[in-house]
Amino acid sequence: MTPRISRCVCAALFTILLLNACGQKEQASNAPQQKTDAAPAAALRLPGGDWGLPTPFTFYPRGPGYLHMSLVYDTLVWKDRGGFIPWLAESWEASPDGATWTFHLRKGVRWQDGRPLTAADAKFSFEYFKRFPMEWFPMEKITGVDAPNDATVVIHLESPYAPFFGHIAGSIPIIPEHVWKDVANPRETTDAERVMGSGPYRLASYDKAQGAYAYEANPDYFMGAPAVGQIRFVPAADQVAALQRGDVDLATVPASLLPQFQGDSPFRLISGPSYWVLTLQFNRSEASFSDVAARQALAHALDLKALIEQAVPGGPQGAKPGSPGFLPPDSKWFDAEVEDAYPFDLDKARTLLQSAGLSDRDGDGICDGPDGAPLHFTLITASTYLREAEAVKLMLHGVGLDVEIRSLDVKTLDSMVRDGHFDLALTGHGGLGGDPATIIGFGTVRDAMLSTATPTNPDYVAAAERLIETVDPGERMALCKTMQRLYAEEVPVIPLYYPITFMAHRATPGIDWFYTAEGGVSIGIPSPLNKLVFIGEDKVKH
Amino acid sequence: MSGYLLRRTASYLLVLAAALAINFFLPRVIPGNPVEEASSASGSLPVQLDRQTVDAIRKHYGLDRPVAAQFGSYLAGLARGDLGWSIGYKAPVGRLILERLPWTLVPAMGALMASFALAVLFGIRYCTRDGGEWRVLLPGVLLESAPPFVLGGLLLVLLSVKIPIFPLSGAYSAFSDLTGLRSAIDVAHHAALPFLVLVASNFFSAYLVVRSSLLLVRNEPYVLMAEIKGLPESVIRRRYILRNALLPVATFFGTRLATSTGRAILVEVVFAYPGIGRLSYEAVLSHDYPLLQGIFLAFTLWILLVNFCADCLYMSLDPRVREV
Repeated sequence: MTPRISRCVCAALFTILLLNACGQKEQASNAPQQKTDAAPAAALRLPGGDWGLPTPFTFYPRGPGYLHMSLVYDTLVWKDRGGFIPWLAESWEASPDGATWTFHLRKGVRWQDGRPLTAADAKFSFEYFKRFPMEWFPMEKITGVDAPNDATVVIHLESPYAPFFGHIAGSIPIIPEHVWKDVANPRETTDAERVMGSGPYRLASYDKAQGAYAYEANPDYFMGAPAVGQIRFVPAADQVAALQRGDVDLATVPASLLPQFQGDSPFRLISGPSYWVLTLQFNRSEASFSDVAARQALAHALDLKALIEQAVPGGPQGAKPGSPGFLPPDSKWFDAEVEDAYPFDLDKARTLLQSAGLSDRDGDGICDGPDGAPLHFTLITASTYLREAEAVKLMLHGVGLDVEIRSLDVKTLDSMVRDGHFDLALTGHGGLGGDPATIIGFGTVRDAMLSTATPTNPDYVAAAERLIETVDPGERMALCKTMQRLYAEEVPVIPLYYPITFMAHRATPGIDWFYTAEGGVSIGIPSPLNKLVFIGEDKVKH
Repeated sequence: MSGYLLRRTASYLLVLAAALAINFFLPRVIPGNPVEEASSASGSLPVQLDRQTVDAIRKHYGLDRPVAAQFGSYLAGLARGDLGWSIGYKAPVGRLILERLPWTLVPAMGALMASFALAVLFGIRYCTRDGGEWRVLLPGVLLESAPPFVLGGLLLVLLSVKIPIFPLSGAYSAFSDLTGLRSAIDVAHHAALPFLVLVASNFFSAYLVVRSSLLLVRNEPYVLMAEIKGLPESVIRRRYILRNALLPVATFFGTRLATSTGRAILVEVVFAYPGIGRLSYEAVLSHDYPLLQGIFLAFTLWILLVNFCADCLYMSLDPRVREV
């Protein structure tokens, strides 16, 4: 009986495969016919995932969510590989105090439904976001918006705000007044017809369950029809496998798999900064680490290059060593002078520890506290960083610090660090590419939800407060240098490394992937999915 | 309705009431909250929320109200059939669950039934005769000891990447406008590997239960009596052994069915299958209170329903239960 059954099962499976293979062939033969209808030929398939319906109120406030929304909606300015460029606004000027900005809109821009986009829409957008705050858009600074004529928008700020371009003009989408004016609960408005902006793509289909999106080019786009006619985001659990199989044209590649894509490979690699940092944090309210000398000692005791070699997949290819000034070398605000403030030097580390009152007095190889008892520290971390934690433990053991590792889940780790229930912690965060005044752990963000240690030096705090209001680039650079120097002196945390991201892609004519300037798209999304790639950089009218 | 069923129903209602309260409070005990999640350290881009926005969002989702008041409006919403609005997915919880539930139930239930059917088939075959059982036990042990995600990953590499005959991920081809039979085949094609993994991971334990139950019954005096009477072997197997041996198997099937949705999580993550297991995994990660409450409620109802069905099944399998 059983052999018969297994034969039946095999036959059924085979039939399914065969029928499906036929089906796929048929689909494939249909595809070119569809393509001839649209003028631009190229179509791209990218790894999908559910990032919400791409309206400004329903996209998920995490990186790719904004990228989806930006295909359908435009902002006043945008970023290319060099910096900010005119977008819906063709020119702008600021008042001398930097608190009032006037934007002159491009003429002849139309919504995807054919109606003209005017300054009234822009005014409406800012006021609407003020009424219905969204996670992504900081509206606190805006006190009023005027539209003196159809082509001019004037934005009044409470005070000069340096990140204005990155966080407001280059990030807040302009939405059509005629679509949203009667919507009283935009966060819960999820009908696909609302997805209508002035952007280069229309949403053709969205499958929330599978995380699949299809976008069709908007042939009447104000910069001309986009080069890529169709973008499809398809489900891909394993991006690398999906790329090799031909399901997608671009995939994030872990540094450990790089050899597969180097040399003779049909794929090309691009790499860029992740603007993410792994840090060693101290509990400064504890006696041992309240002394700056102890923290400086640890900075000397850690060999960051060796740590990367031992713990990071891909070794030095996968990450850059941390800078004591906190900002990564990829940031344009980075100060190279502080980079080598703490060279690996065990003798110096021991001397500094001694001056902080931590030394091995009974010769057992472990530093003793003021009462003579050997000191034991707990290093809390998440399971993802266990290799790094082991490396740190061994390095600290070299200067006589006894460290025990405790692995926690990320949520618990975050909350224990926030509440100060730790000695040492190994944890990381992103967003280092944004405006330096708003970077977590570096700038001053009042009442931020996520806080890591920042220097308490009054000079540093004064510089950070000045940085958020100063618009002059030269002065800002000087402030950033001062802050990095003071940061390195005080060592509130030790930045261990900044990972590098790698993307592999199939060479597609007309597609030139790049990483966006000024920390990435919008407020700093370190991803090559800038809509400019799909529109065609040559179309940008400066 | 018998007294037995009435008593069972009453206890189910009690369990449901307790579960509702636990479902509501449990997610709120996890460190962190959904608004904070929007600027999480685990992401590559933490959004910096200003206080004004945080307050507005908390107010919007009613998170600023006292917990008791939140519980009250949750219950009031349930009474209206409204499960709330998912904070992380920005969609009605009820719709999300209904969209995902079939993608878990069909493969998980199908796989469970298939593995029990196989277990009974092989059990009958090998328990009533001697020797050759290693042919089932050996692969059974191997498949049982490999965690489903390892087996799934292995199958993916072999049958989707090296020899690409099965799709890599998803439950159906994206953007295809297949209809009728074609679409059914497409779904089966996508479900084949997850189904296979689930069958493999369920089979052995089912087989062991069937086996021990069959062995126990085989040595009962009434089986010996039937053999002495000279009844044909097939009749003895089906009427005397199998029927009596099925009772513990049905119990076990019930418990496995109740927990099958949870077991499917790992497989769904490996195959990017849009089931409810993956949904709950993501809801936990994002502290999505309303969604977690909804999913837990769905799980609770599912377990109660399965138990109720098992109770009913008992009554027909074993008439003695009716008189208890």
